[in-house]
Amino acid sequence: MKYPTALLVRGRCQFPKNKIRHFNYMYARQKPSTDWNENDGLPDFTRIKTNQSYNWCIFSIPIWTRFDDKKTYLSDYAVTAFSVETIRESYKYGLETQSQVLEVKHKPMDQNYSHCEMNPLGNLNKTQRREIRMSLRHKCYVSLRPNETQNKVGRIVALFKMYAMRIITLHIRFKNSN
Amino acid sequence: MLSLDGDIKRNNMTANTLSITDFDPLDMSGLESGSIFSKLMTREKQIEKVDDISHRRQQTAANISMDMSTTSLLDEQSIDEKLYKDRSLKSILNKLNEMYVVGDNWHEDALNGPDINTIEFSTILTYQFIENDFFPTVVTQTVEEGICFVFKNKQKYFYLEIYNDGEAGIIVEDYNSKIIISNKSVSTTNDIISEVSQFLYK
Repeated sequence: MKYPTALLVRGRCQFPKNKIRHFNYMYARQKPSTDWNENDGLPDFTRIKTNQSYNWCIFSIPIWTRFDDKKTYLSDYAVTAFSVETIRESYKYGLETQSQVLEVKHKPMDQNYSHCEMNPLGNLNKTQRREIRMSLRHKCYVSLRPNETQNKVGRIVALFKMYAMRIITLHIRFKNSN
Repeated sequence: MLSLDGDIKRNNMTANTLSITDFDPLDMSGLESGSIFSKLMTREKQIEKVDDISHRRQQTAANISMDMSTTSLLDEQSIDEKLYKDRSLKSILNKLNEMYVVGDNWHEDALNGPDINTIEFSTILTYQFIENDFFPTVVTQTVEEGICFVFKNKQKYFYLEIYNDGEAGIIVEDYNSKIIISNKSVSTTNDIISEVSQFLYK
């Protein structure tokens, strides 16, 4: 797969976190452990981090998420999608955390304009982190399984969705927007 | 006069179906001793006795053979179990060794791999798991920097994470229902064994 130049920064600006909407998706690539079985579901719990890098859905399609910092395409990685709402409200799915603990920020990199970072808002103990990681596992959807490819039509549809989401996210004003 | 009919009718049997239990040929009352009938019946009884002994011998032999085959099956089963245990142990120890060799180069985000203390503790724990017939489905590094043992029971998953800082914790999920069943820290190997046992055999 050829590296998409649409991911390059090309002097584009960084967006504030309130431009990242609840209905947006964040794509993450993940390589399951060697023992991982198809029936065990994705993402692999042992690979979910509480400080994770993502590709923002308004500037990237799922398959582009497989490109690493060196523009290498990692075909054996799965791509999972998390809604921003799930990330921000992950505390609601367990008992260990009572308020928002994760936030996503847009942090463009030279070779990946869509790059976002999810970080905890405070210090989380290990029990809280396990709970959040498990909540993320339960509330995501799998865009691409390891070694799964996307045909041309699938990519065109994905591009169309990306542009539609970009217009809705950046050019439509929402009440009580985050 | 010798009347055979009476005896046969009394036993309600034909000559072909005479048996020791139904008709005692040694009961010679009413018969002249040394008569042909008496000799025949004695001979018949001897044959039947021989048949019976032969039949019993055959049965005993069959029973012994069955016992032997059952014993051999049990032996095979225990040998299989032992082999399975040995293989599982070897496989996990190999993985732990691999983790030690790979070290901190296991993840693209430059996360630390399990340190020597974590690997040593996991090795001891592995022996205890295998001894108790607990076979983890996955043993791998975790992004929280340590080692994770995963046990599966139907669609429920038990994750035991042993961290490099000396802590350990478990989290149990029902993957079908997408719920967290349990999430807590554990501090001793006994706690860990007890939790795994509860998960697998409850």
